[in-house]
Amino acid sequence: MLNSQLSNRAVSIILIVSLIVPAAISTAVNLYLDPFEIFSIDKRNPGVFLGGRGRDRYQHAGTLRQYKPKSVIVGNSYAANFLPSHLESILNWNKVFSITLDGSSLYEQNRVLNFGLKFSQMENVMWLVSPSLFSAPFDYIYPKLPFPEYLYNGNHFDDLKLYTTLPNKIYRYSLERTDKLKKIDKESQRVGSPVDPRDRSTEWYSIHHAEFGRANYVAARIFKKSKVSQQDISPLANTKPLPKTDFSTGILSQDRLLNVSQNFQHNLLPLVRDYPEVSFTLIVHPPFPLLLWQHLKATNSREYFDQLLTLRYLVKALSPYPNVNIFGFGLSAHAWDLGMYKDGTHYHPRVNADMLSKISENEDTLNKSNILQYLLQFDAAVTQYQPNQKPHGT
Amino acid sequence: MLFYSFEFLYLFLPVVLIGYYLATYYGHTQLAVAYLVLCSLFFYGWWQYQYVVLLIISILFNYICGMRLREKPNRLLLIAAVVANLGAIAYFKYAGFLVFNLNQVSGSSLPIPNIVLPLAISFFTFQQIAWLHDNYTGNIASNETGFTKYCLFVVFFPQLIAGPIVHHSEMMPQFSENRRTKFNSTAFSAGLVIFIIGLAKKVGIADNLAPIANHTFDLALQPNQIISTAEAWMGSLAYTMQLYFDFSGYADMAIGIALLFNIRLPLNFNSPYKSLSISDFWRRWHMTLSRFLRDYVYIQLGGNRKGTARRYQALLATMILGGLWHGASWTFVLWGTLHGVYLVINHVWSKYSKRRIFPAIAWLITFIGVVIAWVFFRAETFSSALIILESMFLFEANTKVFDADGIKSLCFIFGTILVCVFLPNTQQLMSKKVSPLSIYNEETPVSRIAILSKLNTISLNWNIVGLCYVVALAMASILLLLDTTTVNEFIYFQF
Repeated sequence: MLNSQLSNRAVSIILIVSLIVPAAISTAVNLYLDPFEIFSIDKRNPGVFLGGRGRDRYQHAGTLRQYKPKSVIVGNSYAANFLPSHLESILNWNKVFSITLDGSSLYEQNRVLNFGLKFSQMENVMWLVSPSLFSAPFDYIYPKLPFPEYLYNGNHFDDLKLYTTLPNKIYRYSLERTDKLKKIDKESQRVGSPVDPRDRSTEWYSIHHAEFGRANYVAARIFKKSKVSQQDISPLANTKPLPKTDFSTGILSQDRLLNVSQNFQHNLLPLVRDYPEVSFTLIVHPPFPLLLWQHLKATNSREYFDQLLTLRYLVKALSPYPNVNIFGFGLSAHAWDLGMYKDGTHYHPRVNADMLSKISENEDTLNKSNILQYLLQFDAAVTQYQPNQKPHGT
Repeated sequence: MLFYSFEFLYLFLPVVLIGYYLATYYGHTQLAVAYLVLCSLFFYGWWQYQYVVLLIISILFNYICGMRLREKPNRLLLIAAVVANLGAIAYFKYAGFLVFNLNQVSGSSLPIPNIVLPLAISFFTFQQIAWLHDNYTGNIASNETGFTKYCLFVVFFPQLIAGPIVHHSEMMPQFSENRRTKFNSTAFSAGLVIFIIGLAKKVGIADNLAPIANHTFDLALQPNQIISTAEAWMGSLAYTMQLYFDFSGYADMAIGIALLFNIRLPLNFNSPYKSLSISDFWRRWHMTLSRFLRDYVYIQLGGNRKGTARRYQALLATMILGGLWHGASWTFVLWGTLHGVYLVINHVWSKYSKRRIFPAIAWLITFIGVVIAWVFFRAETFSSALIILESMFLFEANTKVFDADGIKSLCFIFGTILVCVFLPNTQQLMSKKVSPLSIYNEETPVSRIAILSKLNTISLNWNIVGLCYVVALAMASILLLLDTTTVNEFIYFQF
């Protein structure tokens, strides 16, 4: 029987089935699991959002499709600790969701936000960008985490690509979702009130909270050393004099100007311009430690000034757009305190809360008329910074 | 759409097949051919919609010129048409290269144009040049006319993007034979099997060799990197095998898909790594390109009709052009030149030496020569190629490669070499079905069994046991595809 010849028809049918069945079963299982809610809201565990490195890139596609936010928080991990419920209570925004992407470029943030603006009736966007993001080519995608651009092109057929994969990966995400729900429930019981799942979508403080309060460690990270002693964190007075620049007339280096202008033209301007009814709260200068800036100025002054001149470029280029409010928190009181940082750039959620408070009071705004003074003040603070010093007025 | 993408396998191909056979079922052969043309243009447009217009213009231009040449052979018209075709390739493919080199040589600073290369331009242009030439010489049969058939000959999607480079005489008559357009269950089932074998070669073997090869060649680009002898050999051997499995896998998929439509494409590979000489290698590797170069370049340059010296010059020139055809880079030119030199040496040896080399030694010399040339083919720069070759032949120790992953990679590479050298190729496996189908061109060289001839007579049985092998291969390939997180394009797409 094993040796009897099979008809061509039988062979064809069996081979076609063998080509179709594995893919069909895998896709069906994945569609049923749908941990990112790309195709429908998970009725078993609604409103649980997987965030963090890698998952965020898939999750936000589902969040934007199913939950249709009215307000969003955009950026990378520097913005991830802004809590949607805080924005709702402090800024009186409606239906806030976080769509930050850890480690992402402006291009990736643009794709996600663009998709959200197209398919939701948005009212507010809070977007935190750091000047260094503008130094990369405008279409740069962070190479270590795949960015599924097909999920943000509006083509529903393309969405299937996510689930034409072996079910083990999707099943793992599905289990993570269940775990996350259990953690949220546990936390709610511990604090005695329900925890908003949106507040646990992208935030990373709950995982890294033990890494704060280590000023020497942060300094070591800034200096790129394995450890530093107190005398390493020396005031700039002990090093060679730093170059001066005139922020009013100084210009971006040629390469930097190309990338800054292209990033602006491709990734920022189209959204601001095409959605005049949406209010954009743009934080262009996050509150990084002053020591970080001081070290940068001492070791690479050209880069230092390019980053600050990028701020000037952005503020001036966005000035014609009344739907954009720009904020700069480089002179935040926290910038003097290394204990508020996990490393050279990631700050405590208290810093986020203070930023929100300032935004609600319309403080620390940047515009055409004050940007120069801001840069001069900031540069002076960087130059004069000494460890364990408190900012003026405190 | 790649042949192994889900949109191709589960959307495009079924729709095209159903539409095609519906049209033929109701007797509308011309409609079926036209339908295939439109689907093929859609396939091409999926890659680069902006160049569909260029493709259509190329087809119209060459068809009109071809018909004129057929009515009234005019050498000037032929030259003008060929120059126009080559001019298009020169502009899209070589303009940047030419300007760059002009700047280097003359010290000028002309802006280097950044021109996007239309996909498959080298393939569809060469096919049409052959048609123009044969119209001029009167070597076109009466069943090779008809605009729709001509369009399908140029754009037929299984071979459009990366070959085989088909000849009008083997394609156009197929579109006019009524029996060909009808469903043929033997061809259909054979096509599925050949497609599955090609798919397995690509996703199972070639894609797994790529990271090993890329590691070495990327390392060679970094300044002050030391590449050990083991790494250099692993990388170059991995690329040697990757290129074969990738390209022959693609060719198998193309042949298999064409057979689903009961259309026969020519063979492109015939176990090239079993060759015992460079001449033999070029009768087995990218056979349709070799055929084109032989008929339309080598013979036109005089071939072997104008004396030995002229013959060797023609050989060298043909191989250099063959290298340049692959891409606008001196590394490709060097690769072609190397093969030209190899061929000349081979011919001189065959002519003047009475000695026969022991087959295993002949195989080793041929294989190593090919591997060395592939280093230039793959390397992005001349200097990185030299770094790898230097490491291959001047001992540089590094025990890191012999960790668990390194041993696995080594075993995998040697496994693929053993498969290539000892096991039957696709057409040998299919020999029980191939003969009735006669899917391969009569001119195809009969496969010479290099070593252990018995193994090469193994072929697939059309019974449950044989089917189980193929089903397992199909499912494994699909599972591997599902597990892929990045898309690996076919290597020859860049040409």
